[in-house]
Amino acid sequence: MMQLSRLASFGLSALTALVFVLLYGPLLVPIASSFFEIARGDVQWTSPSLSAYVALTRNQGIITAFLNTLIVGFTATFLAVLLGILFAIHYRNGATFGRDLMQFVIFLPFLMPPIMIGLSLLIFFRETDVPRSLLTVIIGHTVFVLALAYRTIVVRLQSLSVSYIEASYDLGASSWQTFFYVVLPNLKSALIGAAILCFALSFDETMISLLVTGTDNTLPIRLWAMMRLGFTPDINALVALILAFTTLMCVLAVRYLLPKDAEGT
Amino acid sequence: MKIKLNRRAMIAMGVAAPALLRTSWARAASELRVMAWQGYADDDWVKEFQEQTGITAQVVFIGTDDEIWAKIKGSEGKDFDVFAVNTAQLQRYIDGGLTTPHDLAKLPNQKNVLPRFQDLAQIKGIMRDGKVHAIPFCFDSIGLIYDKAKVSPAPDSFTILWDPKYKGKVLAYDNGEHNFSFTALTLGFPDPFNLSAEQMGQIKAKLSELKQNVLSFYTTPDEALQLYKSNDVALIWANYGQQQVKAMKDAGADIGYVNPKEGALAWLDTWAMTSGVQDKDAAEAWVNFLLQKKIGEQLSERTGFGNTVAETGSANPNDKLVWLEFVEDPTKRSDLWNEVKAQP
Amino acid sequence: MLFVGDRQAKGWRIAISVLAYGLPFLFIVAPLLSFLTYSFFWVEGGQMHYDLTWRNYSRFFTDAIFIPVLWQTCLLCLAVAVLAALLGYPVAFRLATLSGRRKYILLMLVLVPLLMSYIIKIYAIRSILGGNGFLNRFLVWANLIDQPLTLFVFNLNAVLLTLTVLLIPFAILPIFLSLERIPKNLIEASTDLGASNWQTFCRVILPLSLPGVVTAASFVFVLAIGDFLTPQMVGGPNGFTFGRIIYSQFGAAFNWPFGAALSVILALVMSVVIALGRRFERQT
Repeated sequence: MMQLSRLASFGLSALTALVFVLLYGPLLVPIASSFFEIARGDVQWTSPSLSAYVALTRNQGIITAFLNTLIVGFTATFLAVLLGILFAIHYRNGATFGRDLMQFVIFLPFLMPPIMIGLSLLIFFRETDVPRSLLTVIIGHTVFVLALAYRTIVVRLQSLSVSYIEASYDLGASSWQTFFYVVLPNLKSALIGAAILCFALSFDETMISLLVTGTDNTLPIRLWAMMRLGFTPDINALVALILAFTTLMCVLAVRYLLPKDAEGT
Repeated sequence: MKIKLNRRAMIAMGVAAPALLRTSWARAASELRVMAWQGYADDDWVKEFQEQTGITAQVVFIGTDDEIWAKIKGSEGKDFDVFAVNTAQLQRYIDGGLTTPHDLAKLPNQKNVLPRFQDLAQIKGIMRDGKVHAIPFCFDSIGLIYDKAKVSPAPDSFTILWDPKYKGKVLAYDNGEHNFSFTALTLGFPDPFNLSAEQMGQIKAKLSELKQNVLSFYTTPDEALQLYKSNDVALIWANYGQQQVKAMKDAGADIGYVNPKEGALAWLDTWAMTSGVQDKDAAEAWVNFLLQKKIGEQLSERTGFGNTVAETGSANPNDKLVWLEFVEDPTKRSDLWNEVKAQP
Repeated sequence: MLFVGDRQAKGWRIAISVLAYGLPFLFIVAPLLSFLTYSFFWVEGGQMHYDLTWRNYSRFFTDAIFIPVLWQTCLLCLAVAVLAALLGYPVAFRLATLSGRRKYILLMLVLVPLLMSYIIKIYAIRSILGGNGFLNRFLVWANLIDQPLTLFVFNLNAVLLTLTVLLIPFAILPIFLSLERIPKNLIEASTDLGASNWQTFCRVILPLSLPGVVTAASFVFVLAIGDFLTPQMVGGPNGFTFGRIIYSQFGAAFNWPFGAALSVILALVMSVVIALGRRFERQT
């Protein structure tokens, strides 16, 4: 990118800071509360305590639900990105029979209200006799987030110059070699971006999960049900831990997976 | 040739995929599948139940009546063995053939419940053709919560919700069915669950007025509490009754609770078995287990709800309670309620 | 292109075709189509009738409440999409101008809030925005205002703000990805030819990043319109959106056919909006 003037640089940084305040402001409430006693429904700012964290370690239901959420999120994200690459290549491929229609189909689950997708899938699974389980939740999430993965990848693929691929063929590379050595490296940041968006959506998905799950809870299902009686203090602790953990993972990933002077590829 | 191959492969896939899912992920039937509200199946009860009976209860928690219906109806009752549902909603499940009647002989603890829940035939809606489709578990009245500092003297009628003095300080509940019923009571209509078109028109106009007085329509007790804490609220139409009172008092609010003279609606949650129940004995063991005095007391202590086994202060003996019934046309009520909400 | 005209890869090409048509058919078309037939059934007096009819669709046009609510909802969500893109663009741009690890660490920090449950976030935002909420208490305490503000207390402003806060990360990432794809030499060429930073931005960077902006705005628009919880939780008595009407059809109203019909209409409207966005993107 270009060299910015001092004024432009300052303006952009200020706006970025504002957005960070908007993003993190709401998170401060549960995180700050997690380190204090909660009595009579109110945070006791004068008595710091780790009791919320102790309570969390004993709350087997929440921990199981959280692990289920991770399983679903990772699997669905992996499948969605894989299918996203596959579909993107297919529809960039000249083999374009019904391309617009199929793109529309892929987008449908993202456009329809989640309750509608959830019900359709539930009735479909019932009629084809597929038992409802975490697997059906994974299928539901994959269908739901696929559009996001596909769109992110196809936008990047479009900007990939055809001449690269032709050059690769001219040099005698096979399709697979071209895919692995030319296409995939160019897709890298789009793939990571797509995966993050998909995982984030899956992680928070309530309505489809609730309708197509068997007897397994996911974290959003538990939180949704808890709205009736109010969240227990250990939920604050969980939120704080998730934030700490993901931030740490991100920093470590960037630190050890990227070369020092990494540039976007 | 090429197309043919594709099509054949596609068909093969279509047939193979569900079959594959079916065989490899089939679930063992040794556990009990429970759908419950938060607070109706706490971890320690599930654990004790398992110790006593050897049955593992897998509980999925739901957040609204709407989801229970979507989930049970969508799976035609196959996804759960036993579920919590209120008596008014229950009718739809019985109509749809989604329930399995209980065998009272398997529920010895039902003999020890409070007097008013002893004779199940007296409780409208849970019996059909002489069969018991659900067992009462938990109830509460839907009265008025008022802030003692802001509302004095204590209100005795729902009409106070329309008082312009409290404009923007009223919390009401976001549900067309209940709002039509309680407004019918307020207007003095004899049967709040069977309204004529003309009565509905009057109520709709009255609810449009109520909307002008309301700060927000809430759906959960905790939401109402949060609204109360961060805003100037004087009156709450308390869909969750004593539970809300308890939560608010715990939070230090100086509030009172009345069941108004027009009569307060009251809901009654029950346990019903689905038509797809896999192990009827296990499901009945679960219900019987929950009908213990100790569980009832813990339920009321933890949630504030009234239970059916141990006496609590949920309703004064003199209070007029109107048990919720299935309404004449929920679709119509919901449509009218949507119209009220859509008005500017 | 890839796998075309490569004899060895023919098997793979067929396999990809099979998957590309078969999977969407099996897991999207089949379930949705079978459920969409519901939209031609009808409900009266709590009973479902299984003869086919258009009445659910005609009701959308004849009943006075649906079109205004849909229109209002679309405007609201467009506003959210525009706001999110406007706020997201400078952030994405700032990130793209950073170098090395700092860029990616900050990018990750933009995305981390997505992993906090949005129910929790809505609750937190509500405790910040309410009449006695943190924001008002802070402003009164700091003597900036005398009376608590009602600007963001349970109205459509609050919905707009909340949805924007929740969805900004979905806007930043696509814009960032598109900015990153702009070849460096184009920007250098522009600068070498004597264009000012501002000219380079307007003539080179902005047009080239527009596909990302359109993608970002359409993600945010779609996610905003599908959300029925936020309007309910922070919108107060006026927080009534099309998503809530649809949701109520599946629950309280017990009118699945009508809910299905409304979903179809909503999906069509959204497709049109997105198609318009694409056209706009191509023209510029």
